[in-house]
Amino acid sequence: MRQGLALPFYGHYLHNPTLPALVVAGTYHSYQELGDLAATIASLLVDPGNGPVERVGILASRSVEAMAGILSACWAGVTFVPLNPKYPEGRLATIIRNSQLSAIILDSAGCRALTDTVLACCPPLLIAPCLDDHTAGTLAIRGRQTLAGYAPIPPAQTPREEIAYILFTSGTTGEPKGVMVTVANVAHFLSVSQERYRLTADDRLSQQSELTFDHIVFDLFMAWGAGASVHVVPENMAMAPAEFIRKQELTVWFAVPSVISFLKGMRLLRPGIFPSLRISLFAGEPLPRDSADAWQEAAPNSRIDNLYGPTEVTVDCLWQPYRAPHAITPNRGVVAIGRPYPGMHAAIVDSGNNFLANGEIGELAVAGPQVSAGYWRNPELTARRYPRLVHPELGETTWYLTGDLSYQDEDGIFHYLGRVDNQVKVLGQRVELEDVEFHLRAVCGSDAVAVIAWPVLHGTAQGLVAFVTDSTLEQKAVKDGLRQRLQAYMIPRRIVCLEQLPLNLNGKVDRKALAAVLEAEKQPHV
Amino acid sequence: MPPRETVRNFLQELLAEYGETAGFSDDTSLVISGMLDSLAILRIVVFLEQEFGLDLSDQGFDQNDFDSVASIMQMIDRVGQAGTE
Repeated sequence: MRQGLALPFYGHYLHNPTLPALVVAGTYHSYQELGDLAATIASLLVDPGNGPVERVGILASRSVEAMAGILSACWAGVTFVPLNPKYPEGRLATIIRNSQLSAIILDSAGCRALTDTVLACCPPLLIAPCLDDHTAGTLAIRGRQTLAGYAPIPPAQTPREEIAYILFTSGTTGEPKGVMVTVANVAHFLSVSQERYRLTADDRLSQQSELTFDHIVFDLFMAWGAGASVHVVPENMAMAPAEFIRKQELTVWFAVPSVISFLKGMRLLRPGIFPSLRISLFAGEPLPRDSADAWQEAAPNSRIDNLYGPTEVTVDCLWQPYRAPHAITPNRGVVAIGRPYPGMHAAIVDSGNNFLANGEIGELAVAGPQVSAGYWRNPELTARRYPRLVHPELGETTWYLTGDLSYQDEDGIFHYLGRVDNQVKVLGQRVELEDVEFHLRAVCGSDAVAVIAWPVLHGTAQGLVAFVTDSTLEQKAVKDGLRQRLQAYMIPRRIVCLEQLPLNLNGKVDRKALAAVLEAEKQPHV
Repeated sequence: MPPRETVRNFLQELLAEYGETAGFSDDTSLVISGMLDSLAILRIVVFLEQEFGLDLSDQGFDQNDFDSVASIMQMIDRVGQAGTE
């Protein structure tokens, strides 16, 4: 069976070309206009003169090129790899090199990220569709391809097993790992989401995250499936979008719960300020009950759903509506993660991958049509995290082990309790503490380092704190060194120097003891 | 102490907590440059409320308004004027 993720867009392009598809910085782009751009880039991507293009990177942020770039890859039937211009050059270069891209689509921020180190890893085909020649000239992009001479083509249909996108996320080895999500995975996620939310051409959706966060799959493809518009939140409002939601009269809002506590902290969340919202979705980290209540007051006409899902299971795969009787995880004050999407299955397993009974605590495992194809060029890790298990009712099938500690209550609702490993979430972004430690060791030239999430509120890390043992290290120099290697949200807020790191009985660094050190600092000095 | 000095001193202490001990001018970008993060902005909001009695709740402002000493001073003026109307 063949399928094309750009086909629903194409339907509106043909039949409702004047409807707005995308709004960036106050400028509306119709289905006609955005479709023409994407179809022209697609024509360049499938041109045999450019060699077979298998994977195209999108090095762009919150721009027309970013959204048109993703659409054009789907239009051409090639895999897209979202890249973030804000990543430090080392990280960016590693991802570009590892994913073996055939082409990269750039906006102006993307062009600025092309340092010599990054350029050395780039494929020859660099496409900057919206830059005028002067800007592109001053940016001195090597071998830049123009769209001149290309005309729009109809969208491709590809086998459903084809990889739609590869999303790179923090890995424990210090190198990012790529999650391969198929066209069939995305199609299932979109169809059950549309079944539930029934979006129409009257809807106006937010696009709040960077491309490297898979919320974008919901924002773009749900909107374009319905003939609705996507409204890109400017970066300076991403965490405090109150004005934006009001002025754009958004009907669908999808973000991480931290945005709610941030708006509360900035005194911007007041009762009734978001009357236009009819659907509010939160995912990426635990949703505190207080935050859900505050949002419900601010958006009285909106339903609120708490969504759960790792990138490996295609955006989200469990959901819990926030309505009476409220499903709250006992002793945590957070909304439960709920039940699996239609067609998906969730279960709890022990460390030997045996299925556990209701009420028992273990690792959450997920099966079904949204379970992705595994990690890019990493069969060993894929086999470990995506085992084939024999389930008493489902028989033998592939499960994804989420690494999330969880249990199912007597009503069949799942609750999230924490991690079985050292992955933490900072503003909804996955961070493996070992990843930060790997780079911290390199910067410090010492093995005696550790990183913890601190402070943690409702299961959400407010930031990271690093511990080192070399008292000659300058805090600023260490942070600057890390900035060369890691994304901003992975940089520890503080570098604390201890004489030695506390160890647990296994001889490993005792992160709980390190947290206790910081906890003690908060006590008033006598 | 003049308000500008009070703000400067507070930001200097905040920056020190973040390991940023280099000097900064009234126009130095503190948030967008990555020296301070969103949690720091919340601390600035609370500081402005406590120190100057500002009510920021009716103002449409964004992260840019907290980016430098100069932009914070502009915000104080703006909110102060709105309060006396």
